[in-house]
Amino acid sequence: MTKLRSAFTYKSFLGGYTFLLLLFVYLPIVAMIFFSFNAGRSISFPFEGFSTAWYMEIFADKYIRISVINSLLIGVLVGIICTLLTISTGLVLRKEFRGKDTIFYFFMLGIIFPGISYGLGMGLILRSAGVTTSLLSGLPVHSIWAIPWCLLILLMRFDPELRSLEDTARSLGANEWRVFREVTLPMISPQVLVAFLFGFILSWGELIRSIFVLGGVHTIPLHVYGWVTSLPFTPALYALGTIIVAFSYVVLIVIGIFLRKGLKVV
Amino acid sequence: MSTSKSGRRSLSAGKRLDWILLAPGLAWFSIFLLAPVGFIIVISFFGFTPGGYIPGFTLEHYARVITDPSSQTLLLFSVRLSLTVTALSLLIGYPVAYFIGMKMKGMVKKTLFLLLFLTPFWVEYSTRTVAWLPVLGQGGILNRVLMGVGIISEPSALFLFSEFSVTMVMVLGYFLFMIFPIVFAMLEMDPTLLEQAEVLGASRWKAFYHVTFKVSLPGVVVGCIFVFVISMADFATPRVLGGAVMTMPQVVVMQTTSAANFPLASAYATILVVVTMVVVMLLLRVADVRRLIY
Amino acid sequence: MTEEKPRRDFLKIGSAAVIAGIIAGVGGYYAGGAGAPAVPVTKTVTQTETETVTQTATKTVVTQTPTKTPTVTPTVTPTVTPEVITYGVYPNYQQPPPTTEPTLIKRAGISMGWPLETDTMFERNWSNYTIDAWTVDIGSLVGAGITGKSYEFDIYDDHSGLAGLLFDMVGGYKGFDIKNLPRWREENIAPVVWDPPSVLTQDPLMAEKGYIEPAWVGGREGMHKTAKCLWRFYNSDSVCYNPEFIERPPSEVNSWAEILNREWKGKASIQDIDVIVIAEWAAYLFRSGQIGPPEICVNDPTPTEINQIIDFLIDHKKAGQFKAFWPDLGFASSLHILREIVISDAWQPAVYFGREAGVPHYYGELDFSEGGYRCWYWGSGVTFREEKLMPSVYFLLDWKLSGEHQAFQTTLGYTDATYTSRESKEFCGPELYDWSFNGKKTYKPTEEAVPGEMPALIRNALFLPETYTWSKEKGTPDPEGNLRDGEDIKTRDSKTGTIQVFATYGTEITEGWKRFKAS
Repeated sequence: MTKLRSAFTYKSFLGGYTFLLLLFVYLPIVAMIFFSFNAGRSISFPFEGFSTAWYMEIFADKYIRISVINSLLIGVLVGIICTLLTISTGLVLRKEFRGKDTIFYFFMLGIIFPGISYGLGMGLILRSAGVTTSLLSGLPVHSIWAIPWCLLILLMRFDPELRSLEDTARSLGANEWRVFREVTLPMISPQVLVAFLFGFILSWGELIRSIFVLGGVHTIPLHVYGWVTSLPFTPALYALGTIIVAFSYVVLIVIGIFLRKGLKVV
Repeated sequence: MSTSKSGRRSLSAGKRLDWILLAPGLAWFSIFLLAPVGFIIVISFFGFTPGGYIPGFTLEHYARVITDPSSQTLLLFSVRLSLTVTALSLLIGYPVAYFIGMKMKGMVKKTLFLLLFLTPFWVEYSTRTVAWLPVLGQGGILNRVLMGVGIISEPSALFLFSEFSVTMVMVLGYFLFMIFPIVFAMLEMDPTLLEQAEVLGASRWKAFYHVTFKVSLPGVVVGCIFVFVISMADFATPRVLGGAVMTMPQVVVMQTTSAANFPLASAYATILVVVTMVVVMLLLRVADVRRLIY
Repeated sequence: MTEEKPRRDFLKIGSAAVIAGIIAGVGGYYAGGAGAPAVPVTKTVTQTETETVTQTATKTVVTQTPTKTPTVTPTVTPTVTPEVITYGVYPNYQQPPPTTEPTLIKRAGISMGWPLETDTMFERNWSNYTIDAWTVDIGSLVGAGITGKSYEFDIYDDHSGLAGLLFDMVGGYKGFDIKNLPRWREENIAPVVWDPPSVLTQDPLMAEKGYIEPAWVGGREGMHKTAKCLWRFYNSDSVCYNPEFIERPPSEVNSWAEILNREWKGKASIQDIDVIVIAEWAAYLFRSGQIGPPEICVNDPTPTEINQIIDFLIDHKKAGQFKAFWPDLGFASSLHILREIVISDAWQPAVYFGREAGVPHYYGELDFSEGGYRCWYWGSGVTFREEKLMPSVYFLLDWKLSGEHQAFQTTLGYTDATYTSRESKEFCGPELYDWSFNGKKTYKPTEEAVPGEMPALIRNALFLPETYTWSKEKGTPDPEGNLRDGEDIKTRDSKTGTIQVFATYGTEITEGWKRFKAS
């Protein structure tokens, strides 16, 4: 009896704590959404009434439209590259071989090396190579930043249990591709999804490395950074953030629907 | 290893396959990472001219960085700040990860909850940082709530432009990077193990420590690496919200853009990388977790 | 088999994500093309202001056009000798554009909001032109310029603090011929731009180093012949303060030391950009005599002097004087608007931003002996990306020297190099012109522009040139009218305490700044 009750309060305590933390993380987001409708100019109190004027300003701005499209494109492409390279590299790095440590740290260097210096180096190289920057030049730069994260998450997944499952499949006569497709991939599918999402999100928000590499290409982080540094913060900035949050929730709901459906079929 | 003929053949075929799989990633990184990084490291030994570099070999930039007492203070401060953020993230994030990983039923719920934490990240870095101003400022939400509840009598200046504010914002911003790996590590745990432990007579805490915690340890280490690395590299949060706080990445940025001293900026960057790498390697050696990770 | 479910889930999730991404991309593309209104919804007040100004000007093209209109040939950059041009009737002087084909000009510049509005103005005047502007902050602009990104733009903006650098060191762009800009003539250009040492008589050396060397190829010999960086607009930094807390008019706030006044401890702020802060405080310390005469020049301190300045600032930092360090204009304005700080260093537009948000602000009138104003200018460099675009680029640059552009800028607090031109006078109208540049009061009392019960000190600190209707007819200044804080332009120019340049000891400045912040 007591064990049951203490188990209940224990769980609800944890649950309450989690929700409280979620609330705290969302506090600036809530403030952002709230003040984006401010009829006055302030990003803080006083709140002078309801107005969607800032949203009109966002929709009318041609640079924001271009930036969003560019960022989306780059993000999706980076997500794809990231997923593919993470899977292929992760499958190899789980095994033992000579020089593995070096290769692992080599990959980790992508996130450890300061963004500004990486951007500078890349920019100088591109300059001496005479390469003009375009949307495509952002791809490798963003993926270098994103892949190590996804790699770490994927590598964590490999354990003896999975290996034994694979060995069983192999001994039953399956070739490598089948083993991968029917044993490994389903087991690592959450990590693969996260790899794609991380790739997208990390590229979507990537600023420092992009400055030197994406010359005239407008992306959201660059545009917002220029905006934030030159004009006093107005609720228009918040309007853009709110739109992005809304979009991310749409994606969240879509994912949720598909997850649910997937379970129902079984 | 099987010694049968088929075993040997599959072994060498396996090795070839490994190299095929590794090659794209390795090539990608060699071209796009090795080249700029190598370039920067090489530049750090070159001579200085504004906006460029003079090929040659000199250690003057490293000497300047190492001998300057404020550099040492700066480096130590950056490391200290990042370690604090990491520790706090772990402290704050572990219970959440535990709740999501152990107590929530069903992959759907877990995934959705994790993504719920992730969605604020979609918002631009600049916007997120700016959005803290109306919350933390002296006329801001936090101060008003605290005053309304009666905890403080006048608005506190503590919440903005202090080391406290930088730490808090970083922790709240990055602890989700701690949660993700831990939850994933917990996913693989066999739920029956806990029951077995309790059947065998272990107390709840002992069961937790020996089973749950040990399983989540790789996730903890990976999470610590994530948070540490990302907070070491963060230069905008301390600049905007920190007031008088200065971290190493800011110096790198300033030397690059204000003084246009590329060799010196590269020297700072190299030192920053070395220090971060050392800490990461130390973290990976915790309880010989390397084996567990991969 | 239970393995099927996760795999199916994964496939569903994966395809959903990819499809969502594609739909979003395609939908966004079409929405962008079709949907939103073409007219940018900027602050309506500025709209009306520029509308009245442009309506009188544009479409009546001067018939007395120069005999030699620039022809568009792919290889030859056309030159127009000023002697042949005869100006038309003001304010209708405007050459026809070199081409009526749809043309795209790419420029990179600082983002301050208004440059994008002037882009729109230009595009409205000549609809075949489109300007694609890449706007970032100073640091990124410089960084990108240094790594050669300037070659991807036609016009690359440059700051006085780095003008020499980008041109000489990096070869970021090439010098261009002033002859191609018909408006660049002595009667149009402000004296401080045409011959800086004649205006900055108190420190001609600084004028040479600050205004001549970085802007012209060949220094003094090349003046008004070949430009590294075409001078466009300049501004004078001063102290920006909130009269709600500091209850003094601008004429009584004369010194940079006001920021260090212990009365505002914990409510003061200075910039987070090392070179700018050092320039300001070097000017203060040198000119007030607290540090000995400079070895090189006031705006180019030696390492010893830098250390002295840093030590001086560290004392004040340790006393808790500074609350925050603002990295950029947007942040500074927000700090002021949120009333987190009451005094900082800033330039006039920051004052106007504060006023726009309803918070009164003044711009202090500094004495030369207390440091004087910190002046800087923005210029444009030309990269010769595409030869056949050159006439259009010169045309755009010439338009940026026009009265229309100048009048618009003035309401925001910036001063263009061509403010002495007849064109500027006509476009501004007598009231705005006298108010901005000659230190005269407005024709209507301030009460009309800023209604409500409040002391005169606060009322004048809320006056906004953008919202006021400026008269086009000559009138008489009202004794209760608003006086611009910052005095008339001649006085302000003569009180220039320092000019921002790329310092010889830039590395030491950054190291010193690091020491300052680490203390």
